[in-house]
Amino acid sequence: MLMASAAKDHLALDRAILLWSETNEKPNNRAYAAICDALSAIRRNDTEAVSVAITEISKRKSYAYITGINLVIQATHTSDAAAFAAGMKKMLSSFRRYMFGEEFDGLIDPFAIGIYELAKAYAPSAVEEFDTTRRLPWDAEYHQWLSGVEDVQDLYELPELPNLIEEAMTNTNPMPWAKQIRETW
Amino acid sequence: MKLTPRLQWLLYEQWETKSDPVWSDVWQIIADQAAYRADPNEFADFGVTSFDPLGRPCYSQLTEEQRALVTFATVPSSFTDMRAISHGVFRRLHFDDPAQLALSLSVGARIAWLGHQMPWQFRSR
Repeated sequence: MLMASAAKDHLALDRAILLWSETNEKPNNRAYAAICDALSAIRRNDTEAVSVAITEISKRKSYAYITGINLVIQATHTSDAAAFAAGMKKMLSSFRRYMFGEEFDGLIDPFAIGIYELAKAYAPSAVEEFDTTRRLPWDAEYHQWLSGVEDVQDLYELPELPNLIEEAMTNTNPMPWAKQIRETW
Repeated sequence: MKLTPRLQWLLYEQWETKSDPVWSDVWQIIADQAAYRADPNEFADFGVTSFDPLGRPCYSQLTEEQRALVTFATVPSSFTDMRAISHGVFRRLHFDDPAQLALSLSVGARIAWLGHQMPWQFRSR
């Protein structure tokens, strides 16, 4: 969800949320499940569902990066700009460790960008104190570029897709056969 | 983005060790993985050996296209969402172009979506 949000790929984001709501298969880690519930509710602008998800989130203790995401979600819901900035800072400062310490993969945090975009749409005042010019792993130039983008699909054609997946990747239409198997086997 | 000496080194190191797959390479990597799709026995070799409630191998009930999609979306070494990040970061820095990162993230998100569509019974183990 956050990758799609970070790319402003609205179709992929909404498909991911639809799939999340339909599938019974949830991650073993309940912290992740609660976060996905919260992000889905934020995207749908469903304040009650956000509140329910936050209650679930607050029961869980997790490592620093996930704690940062939780703080950001809660601050988004309460439009607490200072807490939002603190949560983002926690996310960004622990991102490289979250990426298994990989220096290159930890250079830019797309999840922080994605959650910022979701939060800004849900509660614009929540993001006001976060410094969007800060250094890596926050990509300030990317953020600035993205602010001029309405929908990434306006900008690109999926490159050289094999026929096999062209339909699935382009339209992201749910696959009834896959859903049927998921639900009956 | 201004590349510090450290960033330049990381970029160089990434190029040396993993190179920069262009999109056609990405698809080729995945297509190679999915090349087994025509043969249900090969498909089973991926570890996809779940059975339906009647004891039939799940894959035997898929069409060739469905098997290919499952293979495409679930083989571990395909272009996963995590690889999409490093692919996008590399291209974003190398070309100094934010759109490259957006494109990789978008493709990564769609592949992740495709993978999650697939029934868990077919996920490689």
